[in-house]
Amino acid sequence: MIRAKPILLTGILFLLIFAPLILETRYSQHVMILVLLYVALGSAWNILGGFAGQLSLGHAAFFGIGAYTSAVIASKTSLSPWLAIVIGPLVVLPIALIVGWICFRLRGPYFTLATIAIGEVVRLVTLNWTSLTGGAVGVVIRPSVFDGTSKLPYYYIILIIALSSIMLSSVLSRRKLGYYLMSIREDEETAESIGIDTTRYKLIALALSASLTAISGAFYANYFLFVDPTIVLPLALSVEIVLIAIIGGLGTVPGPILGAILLKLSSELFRNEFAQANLLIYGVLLIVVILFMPGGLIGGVRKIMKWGARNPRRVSA
Amino acid sequence: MRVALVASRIYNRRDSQFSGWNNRLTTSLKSLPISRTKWGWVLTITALLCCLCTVGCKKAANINGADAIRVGIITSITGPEARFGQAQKYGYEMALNEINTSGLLGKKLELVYQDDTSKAEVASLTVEKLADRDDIVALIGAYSSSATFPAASVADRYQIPMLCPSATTDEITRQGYKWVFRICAAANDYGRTLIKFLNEVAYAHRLAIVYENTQFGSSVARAALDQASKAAIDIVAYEAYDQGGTDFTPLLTRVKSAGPDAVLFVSYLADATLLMRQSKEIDLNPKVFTAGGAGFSLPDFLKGAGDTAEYTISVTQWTPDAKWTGSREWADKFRTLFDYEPSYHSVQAYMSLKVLADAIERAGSTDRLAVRDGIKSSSLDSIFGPIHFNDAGQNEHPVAITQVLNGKFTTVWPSSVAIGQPVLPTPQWSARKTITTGLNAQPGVHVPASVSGAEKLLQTLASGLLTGGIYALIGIGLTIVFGVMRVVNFAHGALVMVGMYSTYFLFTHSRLDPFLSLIVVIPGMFIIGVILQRILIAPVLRAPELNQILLTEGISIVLINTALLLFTSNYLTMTTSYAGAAFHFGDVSLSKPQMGAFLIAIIITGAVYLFLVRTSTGRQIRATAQDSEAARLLGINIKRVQALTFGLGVAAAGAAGSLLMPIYYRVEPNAGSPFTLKAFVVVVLGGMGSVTGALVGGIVLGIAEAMGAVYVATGYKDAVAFVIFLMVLTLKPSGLLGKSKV
Amino acid sequence: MFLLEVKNLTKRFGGLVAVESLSFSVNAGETVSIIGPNGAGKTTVFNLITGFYRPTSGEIRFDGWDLIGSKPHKIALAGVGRTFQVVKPLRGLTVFENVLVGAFAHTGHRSEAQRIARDVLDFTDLAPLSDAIADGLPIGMRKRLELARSLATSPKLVLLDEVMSGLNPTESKEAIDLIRRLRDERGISAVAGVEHVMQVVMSISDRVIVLNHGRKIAEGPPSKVIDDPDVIEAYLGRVNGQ
Repeated sequence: MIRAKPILLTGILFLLIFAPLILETRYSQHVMILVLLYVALGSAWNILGGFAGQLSLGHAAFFGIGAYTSAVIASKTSLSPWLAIVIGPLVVLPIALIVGWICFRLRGPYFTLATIAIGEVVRLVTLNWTSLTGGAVGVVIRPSVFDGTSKLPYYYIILIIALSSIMLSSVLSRRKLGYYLMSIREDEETAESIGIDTTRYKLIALALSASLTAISGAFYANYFLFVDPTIVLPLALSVEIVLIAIIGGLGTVPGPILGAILLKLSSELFRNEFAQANLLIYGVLLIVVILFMPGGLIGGVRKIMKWGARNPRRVSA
Repeated sequence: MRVALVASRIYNRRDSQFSGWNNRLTTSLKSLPISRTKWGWVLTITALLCCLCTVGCKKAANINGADAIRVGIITSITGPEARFGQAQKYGYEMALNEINTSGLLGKKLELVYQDDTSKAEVASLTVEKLADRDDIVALIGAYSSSATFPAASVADRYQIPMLCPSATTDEITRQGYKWVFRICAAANDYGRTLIKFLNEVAYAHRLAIVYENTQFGSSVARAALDQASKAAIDIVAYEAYDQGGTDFTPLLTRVKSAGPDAVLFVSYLADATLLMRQSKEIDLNPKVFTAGGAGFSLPDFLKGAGDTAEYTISVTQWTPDAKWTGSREWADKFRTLFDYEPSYHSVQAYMSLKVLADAIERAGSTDRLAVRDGIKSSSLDSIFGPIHFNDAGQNEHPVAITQVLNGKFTTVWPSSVAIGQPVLPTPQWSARKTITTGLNAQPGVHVPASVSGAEKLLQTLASGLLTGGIYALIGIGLTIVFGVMRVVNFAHGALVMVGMYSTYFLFTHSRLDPFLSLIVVIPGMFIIGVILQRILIAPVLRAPELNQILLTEGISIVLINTALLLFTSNYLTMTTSYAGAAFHFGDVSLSKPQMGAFLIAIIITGAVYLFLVRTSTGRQIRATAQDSEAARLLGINIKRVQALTFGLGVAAAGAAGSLLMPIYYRVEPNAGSPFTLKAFVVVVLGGMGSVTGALVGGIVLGIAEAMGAVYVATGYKDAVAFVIFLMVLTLKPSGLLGKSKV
Repeated sequence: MFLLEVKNLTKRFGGLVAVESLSFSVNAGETVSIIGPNGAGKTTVFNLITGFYRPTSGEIRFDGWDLIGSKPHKIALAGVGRTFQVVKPLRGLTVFENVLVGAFAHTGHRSEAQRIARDVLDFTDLAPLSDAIADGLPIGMRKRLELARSLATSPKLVLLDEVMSGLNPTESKEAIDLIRRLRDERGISAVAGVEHVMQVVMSISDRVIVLNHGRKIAEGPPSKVIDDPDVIEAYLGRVNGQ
């Protein structure tokens, strides 16, 4: 059998590298950047939510902290806000540890509700800590390193971030850490019984997931050049990140990619085509996917393929 | 050997069922050299290609003829600010018609509308999209400050002229942009004018500032704060609140106890209405109520706030009766064209397009640089006053001050544009039966009624308790659903909203009192709940809980957006005969509608409790909550119990919505959304699944929020609730009462 | 020295005494059965030893280590494997992956873990089912998978909770055979929790401990225990009464 996958993946990589050179309007490049941003966010969430099964609805907090790190660097120092790509995760890590300390003792819906509460607390603190964050007015960031008119450098930066997230997920899914996280998702008691320090591994997953999310947030601030609490910290953002992973396929590597492409692209299309009804359609689609494809699109496809591919092999065993 | 047999036994049935499929699929699979488990990747790649194609097609669609001059208009056609987008659109259309009767440089002017969906992110994106199109000469937009601020920086970077019709944040013209111009006055002008008025006309010395914690609200509040210190006016309170508040009594209590002789509100419409009504309820009597435009200067404010709107002073960008060239005639023409009362948003939009057309005309070209220079050198005398941009790109537009007199906005200051005299000081609420005219304020110190610490505490506890009753009712709906089905219902707030609309329509169409409307709303919502459960919730009961959460979130999105389509994002306001009425006990006042709602909420809670404890159906529900498997074995029809419970939960949410209407006065599609999170807090405080717990949790939350608003900074009020929530979750996850079942 | 030594172990839940002053020990390479009716406290004992519950009082020593207060995963890594009364397969994973997760306990290398997993799957006769999703297996296979997963962590002692319940006669026989091979081929000690007095279980046990209402009422070789009057009264009396 010819090894098709590496060839295919190399092809995609080339496609991704040359795509913005072919589609040179800034709008199409912007849409691609947006899709890649959400690929990165979805993949990062998937490490905690999909692999480890810890269903956080507070990831906007990590994104917002990353973005605000850029904003604070830009407004309070003369350094480049791009530094936030490195500093952002450092700021987020201790907060993630506190979140983990509070939330990981909780199970099921309690965990999810606690993450919502933490997201809201971070939002409210940002909104009211005016001297640091500028409060509701927000912060305009001056373009740094790049002049902000060409999209190409931004495209390649977010491409690298997104690819790193995907590769991390992909490597994880085949390594000890990945298997440990999946065991925790399936059953925490079982995981403990076979020697898995569930608290430690959940914290590792949270730290990875939060750091990657913060990096995306830092990128966003440098790209969009404006942050305010309604943009980078709303609960709706947390929900959107989760939707991307769920609609694509929870706990799978390509799931968030597929989810981001479909969701972001369709919302771009719907906004222009359906105006008033665009969110209504979005809601209906969400219900339909949850009811009829509980494993997301990837799950749906795999289910169909399984009938054909998996079982005959089993019979011959 | 045996294992293999078992395996084939497990899978054989399925195999034979789909054997036709199998054969075809396996053959086609074999011909593809792709690992069979990697189908997700193939799907992803296909999607990626589609993505690229679609984006590519977008580019092709952008190419257009050059027979017209095109201007990009960014405004909020959808989203929470759509109502203002509509007002702007009327202005643009009117200006467009006027311009096109004579043509522009021998061509037609064409507007390319872009919807920013009331989101900053989208506004920036559309600026980019339009700047990319060579045929777009200039941009006008967006509506809100938060959308315009980032969008302006994009326009400047891409060097396309942009006119901002209505964004007030000072920062926009402080960035040194060369391509951005603002027609309207900025927040700083609001602050300066107001403080000047308070200082020179109203002789106020002690000012309390209450503002919504948004870009607009905090900009205006900050400007007023800065100016006040220069004018030797003391700021006795400086309070931010989260937009879309449900109860301002604690906040106003805090303000009242600070003893201000002037109050400044910076709020949008929904909050403006409630702020005035609740000021009356708690008998807040400063010498003058002033406001930073926005909600307080819209025609709908007069309708929504009713008699409490009287005497309110507000800054405004424009009024139909202002003494500017042709503004009255313009207003008349606007009314006949659109059958719509013109607000300053329409004028700003209208004038922006007129200014742009004038600049293009003078530039004699559609070159962006030439047009920008044309705008820069604008000098017009207009219905919006004289137009002239300073170096920062700011049109030095004078703002005026209006007062609501006899139910109409009357321009009262500055004298150059005033058509009436302000009534000062504002009569006390208790003396408002007769309309006073022509009284002018005298210099001197206004002595505000003092509030003792004990009274302040009592007032806080009382209003916290009253709000807590409603929270409890909302929480009960959530808690019984969780108890029986282990489903966390994210659509709970949206269902509260459905109850609110129902009550609104029953009141306006059938003149049914909001409290009586419960008779219709409760059974109606119960049926809706049962249907929702049967069709949507039941299928996911065994699915992972995140799927359940997202399903209910989906229901929430659908409900809210259906309401948006049906009723638009406009606030619908209703006024009952007892609106604003209150019982007074010393300085403690209890709003009558709140008292009524509280009592009924408690009665319903008691009824639900008795139902669960005393009736056999109630016992079945409790048994199912305890252990659904055991309940099934005992012969309880679980499916029936689940549908019944969900119906009950939805009915409780709807009932809470009905009870909120006489307190909240107004409804819009997102009105219920804050209650989803509040309900979670209530339920966790009380212990998931416990009815008595929800009652306790509701009251604890109500009082905690009120205490937070009065004794902690108001901006952190909601944070207080969430911190308590997190503490309970961590320290006592079974809730304050320590029970975990119904 | 004993491999496992339990002394005066007591566990109370509120006012309820689940285990009272229980002492017993297990030697290396020994197979011990704990029998007792449902509710006798067997699962509680297992949960106490594996760290899922914290004892009210008493001592648990394993291989010379004090286990009290250690987290379950630490105890597992120390060499105490277990299965659950209600089986808990990692549902979404395949049989192979289930065992692989266990095999990662003492190695970070995938190839090494795979080797261990394959070895365990062969030992437990689960190899042909490697790629099946755990969720779809019949109960007998799931019990076996639990044991395999636990064996992959290279334990010195395995605690088998309700090892026989829900199995049909053929499956029981296979399970007994597997437990016997644990001792004979791998030298792993086992403590099997069994609800009913089953001849088959007796046959492979070196020793039997009988629990009733959280107390030990008898201990000794199977042949002796079965004739113990207390056991007959507590146990067979119950059977007669049914």
